[in-house]
Amino acid sequence: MNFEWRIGDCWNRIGVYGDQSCPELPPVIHCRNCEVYVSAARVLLERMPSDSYLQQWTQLIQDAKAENPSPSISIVIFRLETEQFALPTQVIHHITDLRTVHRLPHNKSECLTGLVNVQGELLLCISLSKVLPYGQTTDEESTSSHRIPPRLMVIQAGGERWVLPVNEIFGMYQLHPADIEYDSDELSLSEPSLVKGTFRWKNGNVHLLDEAQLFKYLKRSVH
Amino acid sequence: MYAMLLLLLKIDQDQYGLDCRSIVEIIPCVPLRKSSQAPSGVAGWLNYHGLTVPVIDLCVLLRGRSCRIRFSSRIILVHYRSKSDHERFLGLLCEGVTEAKHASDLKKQSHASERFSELFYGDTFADEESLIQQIHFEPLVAQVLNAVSTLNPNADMLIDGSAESSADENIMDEANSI
Repeated sequence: MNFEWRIGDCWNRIGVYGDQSCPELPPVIHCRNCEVYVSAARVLLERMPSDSYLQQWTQLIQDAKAENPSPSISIVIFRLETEQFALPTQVIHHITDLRTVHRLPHNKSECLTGLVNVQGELLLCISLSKVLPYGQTTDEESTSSHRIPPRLMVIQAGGERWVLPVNEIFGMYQLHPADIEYDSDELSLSEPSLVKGTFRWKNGNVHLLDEAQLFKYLKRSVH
Repeated sequence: MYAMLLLLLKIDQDQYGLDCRSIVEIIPCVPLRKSSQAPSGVAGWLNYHGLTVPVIDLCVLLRGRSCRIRFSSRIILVHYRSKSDHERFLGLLCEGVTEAKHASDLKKQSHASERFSELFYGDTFADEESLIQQIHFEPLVAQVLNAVSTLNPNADMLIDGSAESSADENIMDEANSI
């Protein structure tokens, strides 16, 4: 039975999915907030369920439940020169475009490269090249040793924020703890390692950074 | 302060509410395995991920008639403690399971009349349109559950799914012989 016809699917004709000429639309903004739509939904729920619906659900319910997967971690994967790294999403405050990095006079720090104005706040800009060897790309981008990668990742921990310029940000992904391999110690030059482990992603290796160690290292470098 | 979420059960013109705390899952009213020996109020048995769970028809207990099978009729899977103090699953079949409301959005009514109070009634709430009578399912289903366990001496084992396959076959034989 064609229930949509019987109920009168105004939402498809004059509503938000139609030509939007319905006088009720401006106050409710979307058809889903309108009583007509809600009542139609209620009527639809009063139908008899079809056999195929019930069969499908019987099967779903009786099948063994999938093993409770261990909770996955949300991470952001990014590229520094030729290497790929990941940080937990929660330490990333936001991402912005290249800004001018103001050099700090008499800067002896191996990881601070200057100050950046982000949303009115002056934040310390860092480079991890001394602790994470990520090679150099050979294209013309990298000829100058003062070249700053184009995307700025603002990372934060305990109320402190730092700006980490990166070459490319690939996006947010879910990482299963089981996929992390823990014995790659050839990457980090300093103790303790800033790299927790590595995992495979799109035919390459990504180094998962240890955010706790990273922030400890940054704090030490400031003083 | 525990913020109670009430699952609304709309049977005809009346609304009942079930505290969501004991609810494990809500599933469509799939066909159940029947038994000719099942006491009144038992809608059948559900295969829930390999466990055989009894399903009690709340419309029979609250209304004296069977639950109508609609999209809005659902089986509410709850946890309860059996007489032997084991954690068990139980299915509650009911109509009009489409909404839940926070008790904090409702007005609690003082008990207007003792006449309508039942052992399984909790508080009465009101929203703008109607009254919602909270029910406690344990006292409501207690009698039926007792009858279910006397149906089959292995019923306790049957319910938690650790049954030998022969116990399961008993139920199937019953169902097939109808």
